[in-house]
Amino acid sequence: MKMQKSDIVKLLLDRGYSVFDLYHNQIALAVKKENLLNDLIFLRSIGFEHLSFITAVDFIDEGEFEVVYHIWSYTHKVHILVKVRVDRNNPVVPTIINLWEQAQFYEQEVHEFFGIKFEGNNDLSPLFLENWVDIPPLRKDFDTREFSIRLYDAEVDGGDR
Amino acid sequence: MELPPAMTSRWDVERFGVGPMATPRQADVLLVTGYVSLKTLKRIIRTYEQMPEPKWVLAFGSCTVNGGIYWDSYNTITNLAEYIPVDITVSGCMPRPEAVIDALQTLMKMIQSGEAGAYKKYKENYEYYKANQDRVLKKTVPVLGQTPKNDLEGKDEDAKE
Repeated sequence: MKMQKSDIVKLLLDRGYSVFDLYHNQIALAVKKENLLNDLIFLRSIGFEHLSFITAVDFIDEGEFEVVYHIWSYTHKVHILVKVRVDRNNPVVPTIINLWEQAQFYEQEVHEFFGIKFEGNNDLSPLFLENWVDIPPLRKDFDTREFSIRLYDAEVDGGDR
Repeated sequence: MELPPAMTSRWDVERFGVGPMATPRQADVLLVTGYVSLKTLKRIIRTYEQMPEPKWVLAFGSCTVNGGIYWDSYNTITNLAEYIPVDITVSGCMPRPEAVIDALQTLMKMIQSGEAGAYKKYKENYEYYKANQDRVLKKTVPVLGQTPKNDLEGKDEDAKE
């Protein structure tokens, strides 16, 4: 049965989640790492059956990574961002490939670009980068400008070639 | 993006005796049309070395000259001419089909007058090109000196499992 977004927000608030109302069809949900799997299973049980994407944000000043799971419901037409914070020095989150098998590729990608480990996923091999030996490139402490200058002889503002 | 209109009826480069070829082994000119990532560079070198002599390279747009808007990316080279010999470059981001036609005609004139012979340079200075290619494609130490500590530990554990 289709639920309005306001009903979903109320349902989640009643269950004790911290809910952020973002847009007309989008809400965000901050969850704890320990409860991540339970929370995703709960969301799936109330109609959020589609995992669109997994991404991560590097909050370097707070010493944390935020892993974001984009969950969509075809029934309610509502998009939920499930956000989980992990320690930057030991970035480990449980894998969700047993819930959604397409998560395999997203987890590989997030591992490749942020170095976040997905516990239980045995294949975190690189997908995009070839022969990458530096720290993961989308971390905020990776200086992409300096990297380009040193490796590719990039010239600031295009140089005068 | 400029090549389909340049090749088809509106601009029709075939009236100048230029046409697309199915494989590198049948081609005389290699057009590198846009930014070159490391993965692309590997394939460009392979394609270029497959082409029979005499052969010429046309580098297309600002990205192949100094990286264009991608100059500080961790994964795109900035100057194609460091890795394979470039005969002629077309400026613009992106160039118009007229610019492509003009470049091809200029290249024809250069070939007639003997100016365009960069493929000979490739053989003479092969060590230079090869060193540059290996420097970016076969790097073994982190460019910025930061070792991906957590990440490598994670990978080792994965391998053991």
